[in-house]
Amino acid sequence: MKLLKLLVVAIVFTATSCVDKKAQEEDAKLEEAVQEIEKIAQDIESSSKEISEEIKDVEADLQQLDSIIKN
Amino acid sequence: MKSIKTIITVIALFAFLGTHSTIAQSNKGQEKKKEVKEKKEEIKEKRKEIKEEKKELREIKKETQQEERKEVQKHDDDDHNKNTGDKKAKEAMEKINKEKAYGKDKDGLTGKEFGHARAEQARNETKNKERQLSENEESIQQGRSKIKEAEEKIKKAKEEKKISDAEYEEKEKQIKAAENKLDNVEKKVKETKEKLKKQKEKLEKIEKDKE
Repeated sequence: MKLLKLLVVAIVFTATSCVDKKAQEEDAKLEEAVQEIEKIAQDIESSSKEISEEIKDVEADLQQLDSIIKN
Repeated sequence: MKSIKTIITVIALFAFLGTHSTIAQSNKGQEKKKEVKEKKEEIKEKRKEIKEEKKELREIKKETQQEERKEVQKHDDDDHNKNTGDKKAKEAMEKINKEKAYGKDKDGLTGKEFGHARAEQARNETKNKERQLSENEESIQQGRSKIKEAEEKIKKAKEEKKISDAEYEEKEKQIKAAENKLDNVEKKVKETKEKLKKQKEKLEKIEKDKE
């Protein structure tokens, strides 16, 4: 009887630690993915900043073209 | 006896004169000492004043530098807030990076919950960027048509001899410059679109894992 109790405790302990480990692995994976998307988001942010600045520059040029078209 | 009296008188006289001159000399010495002391004190005071002035200058310099730094920081923060939108999420992200505490609470959320919340936020950001990019594409398209129109206009003007060859070349240069800039922007827009695509794929993968 004692042995059976010990066995049950051992099984429960192993199962719990397995579940914990899996959860931790999933969390780690998710965090890694989040970090990756964070990195890409920053990259996109800086690119769109550059684009909006260049668009402004282009718009100034296009205004010059407007004057060419009007004249 | 007489000679002794004379000697005593002479000694007394010398003693009197000596004492007098000693007192006078000591008075003179004391006066000089006093003057030196006063001068020393004056110098000390001047030094103190100079030190205080230096201190004040240093403090003013420090304050100015601090104000400048604050202004620069404020400006940077404003830009940051305008551009990134969600500062809080970034701070939380930095916190996570520091802690690296898998499965533990992060700002009241578990690692999993936070990850999904951040993914959701990134999804919204991606949508906004897509909208922005399509607006940029529209601007590029408009620019292209303007370039075409301008080219036709100057060609016609040249044919009708409304403008000289030099004028034509100058205007053509302007048009080419604008065209080059548009090409660059278009290239960047394409690259950013690729990045957005990659981001979307990553987010979809996270969504699938969630299910």
